[in-house]
Amino acid sequence: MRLLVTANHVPFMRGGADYHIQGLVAALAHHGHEVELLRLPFRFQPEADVERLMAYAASLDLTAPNGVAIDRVISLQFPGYAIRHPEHVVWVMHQHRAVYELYDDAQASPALRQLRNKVIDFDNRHLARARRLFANSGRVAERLAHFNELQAEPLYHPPHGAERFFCGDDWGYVFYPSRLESLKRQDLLIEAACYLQSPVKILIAGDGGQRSRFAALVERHGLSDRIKLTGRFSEAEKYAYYAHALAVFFGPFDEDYGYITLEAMLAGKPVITCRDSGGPREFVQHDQTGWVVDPEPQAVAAAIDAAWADRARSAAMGRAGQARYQQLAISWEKVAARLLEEGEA
Amino acid sequence: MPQTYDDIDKLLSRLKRVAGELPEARAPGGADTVPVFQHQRLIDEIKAARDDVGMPLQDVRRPQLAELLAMDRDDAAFLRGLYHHLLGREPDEEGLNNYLRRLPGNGRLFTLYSLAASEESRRHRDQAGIRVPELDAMHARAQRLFARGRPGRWAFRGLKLWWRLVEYRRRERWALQAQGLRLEARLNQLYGQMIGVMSELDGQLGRVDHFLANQHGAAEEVQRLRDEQAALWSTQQHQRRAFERALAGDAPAYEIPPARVEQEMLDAYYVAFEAACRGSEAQIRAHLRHYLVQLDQARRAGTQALDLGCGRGEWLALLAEEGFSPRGIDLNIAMVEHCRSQGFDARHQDALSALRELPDDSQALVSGFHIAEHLPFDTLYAMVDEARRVLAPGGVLILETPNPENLLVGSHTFYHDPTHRNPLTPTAMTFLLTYHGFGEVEVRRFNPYPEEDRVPGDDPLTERVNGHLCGPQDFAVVGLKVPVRQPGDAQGKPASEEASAP
Repeated sequence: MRLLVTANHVPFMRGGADYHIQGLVAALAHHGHEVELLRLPFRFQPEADVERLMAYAASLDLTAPNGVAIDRVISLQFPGYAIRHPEHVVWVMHQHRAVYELYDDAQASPALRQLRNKVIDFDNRHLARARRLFANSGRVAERLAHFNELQAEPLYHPPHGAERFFCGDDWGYVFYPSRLESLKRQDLLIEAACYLQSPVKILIAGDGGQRSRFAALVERHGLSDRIKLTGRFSEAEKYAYYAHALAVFFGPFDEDYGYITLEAMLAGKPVITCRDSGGPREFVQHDQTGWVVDPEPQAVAAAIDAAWADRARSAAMGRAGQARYQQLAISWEKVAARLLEEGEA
Repeated sequence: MPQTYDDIDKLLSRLKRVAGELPEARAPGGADTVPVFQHQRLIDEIKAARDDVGMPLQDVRRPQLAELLAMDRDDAAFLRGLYHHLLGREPDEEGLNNYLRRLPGNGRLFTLYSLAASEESRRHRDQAGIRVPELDAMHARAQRLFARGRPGRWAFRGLKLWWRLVEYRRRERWALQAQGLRLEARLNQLYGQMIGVMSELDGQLGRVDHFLANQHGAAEEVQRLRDEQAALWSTQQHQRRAFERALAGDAPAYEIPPARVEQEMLDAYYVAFEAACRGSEAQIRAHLRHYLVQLDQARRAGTQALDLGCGRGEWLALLAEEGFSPRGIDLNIAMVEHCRSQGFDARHQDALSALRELPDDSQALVSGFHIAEHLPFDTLYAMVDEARRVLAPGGVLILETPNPENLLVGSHTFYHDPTHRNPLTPTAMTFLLTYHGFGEVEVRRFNPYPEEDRVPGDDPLTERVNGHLCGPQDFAVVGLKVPVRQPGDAQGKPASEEASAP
């Protein structure tokens, strides 16, 4: 089949989305199809730009551009899913978050408020028209049901380098790799450290816009002996940091999917997450493969102390998480088959 | 075993050591490896080739016998060449030694024959499309002998001896030939590599040029910003002083005094200016006679004529002579009085209100000489619209204005008059009349520079210079009011058919 994958391009802002997009293209090509990737340049600001791109996508008919018939279009992001094609399958990575779960009416500018109505209307119209609607995770499917009254099937894909994670001895630290952004809530983990009873260390890996704020926070609480912001890390460092952790913390606000949960499971480590963390909640079972706590520093500290208090049990919880990952049978092969409707749900 | 680290830095360095031992650490991702530029790779290739010249062939798929025999090289080099060209591989130690040992007894021709006759060589040559006609001939000859059984095999020994003899006699010639061919092959190889390097460098230079051009643009931008910054500083200082004065309150507020010149004085200035610059009344009258054609046309629609901006009244005089009942209006009271003193109906009024006072279809002619360029565009637009309304069907509109097609007019003489606004172009004026429904819209050009001012000559360059610098200094756009077509009125001609662009 001749397949066209559509997604956005945000110049020089690489992240999980790029891996997801390229991974899908590679998987479809491995599956024996002719695949091309179309990326729309995306700007979050000004709102008028978002609207222009919406209108452009909706005006684009890719059934048979220049007489070359395309068998199926698979779209991952807003607003590419409005592109016109009779066999358009949408696998929603996430919607335009600024007007959905991140929207706050009290803070919104008039332009954003207006955009919100237009985007919701746009999503209702175009997503309903898709041949099949998949969601990147159960959380994304829930949001589609909540905001747009649309039914979507959650479809999971594996994190990068899934086969290379390994489990080593626990060296008594909690690991949190993620971009340093407000939504990832590294500050919650830093503040939790103030309440710790045990001598657990904390490694926060990654870089981002909030780095100086988080570094100042560590400094202010006098926690430099306990918490380390490692900055950017290599692939090899990632596997090593996961392998020797006591537990992995992953407590962002309303994450779509979250590779970190899956990576921790692959490395056989229990995960500490929060009730409002979104994606991780689908995988972490409280007291079995990790801890689900209130997004409060004291609650997070209590979970870390519990992990320390019975390290043998923590290791067992990690192994349970590893087993659960195997049970879910998350693979690119399965993703390709579902998107092309070749296998059963 | 669970471990605990008291020192977080020790923990981290231990973890980094673990990471350093993982296979991923030895194979960094694509983003971390520096791409090798094509020209560097090519230069490395040439360097490597110098160290190991090898034995290049003229045509790898058609090796010549002399090239294969390599009489100018030692035995080991000869054998390495055979392995390379006929088997497509490096020689194995054992095979090489075996051939080397037997070479003095067998000679090079026989060695070449036997290596080429091997199953491996035939397979390799078939796959790589290598053909050596001399080898085929040797092989065919040997086959013929073998086909004869025992006597044939004896005969083959004779052939082998014959080959040795041939080899001995042609040795020198083959050596020279091989050398020549190899030099030529090497030259071709170098030539190809040089072309590769040059074109790659050419591409690099192109990119550098592009980069430098960008830098140059940026430097200019920086200079411009610096200049602007100086101006902004000076403005800021100026404003600061003004602000401080205002705060101090004791200094009188600075105010530009209005000019306060009486309108009548300006009017008088303008009459004098016209007299000095516009030419004599006689000259003007002569020019105005160019419009007799339009007057004949207008006469069919009646005799009422309105002249907007009548000035000194030259046009009014011509109209009266031609049997029209003209009326003039002008904003300049001195001009109006001048006309009145000559017995004309002249009023102190602006063009638009004069037109608005007149009933529909009442005038045979509306004219405006050198008034359009004094008006803001909205007034000009309304004036043309009103003119169309007041004209009787078949009536004529004439608007004359300086012609900016003549560069000296557009850039210089137009600005003699302090009350001029912008030059108007023939194209724009034609469109304005056409848009308002005038028919037979036409541009007429007048008053070129006198013959003696023109550059002498009639070649294309001179003509172009004369056209742009000495061409007509004025133009008029004229149009006819087309009767409104009634539905089913087959007589009326559509305006568009009649309209003719200049």
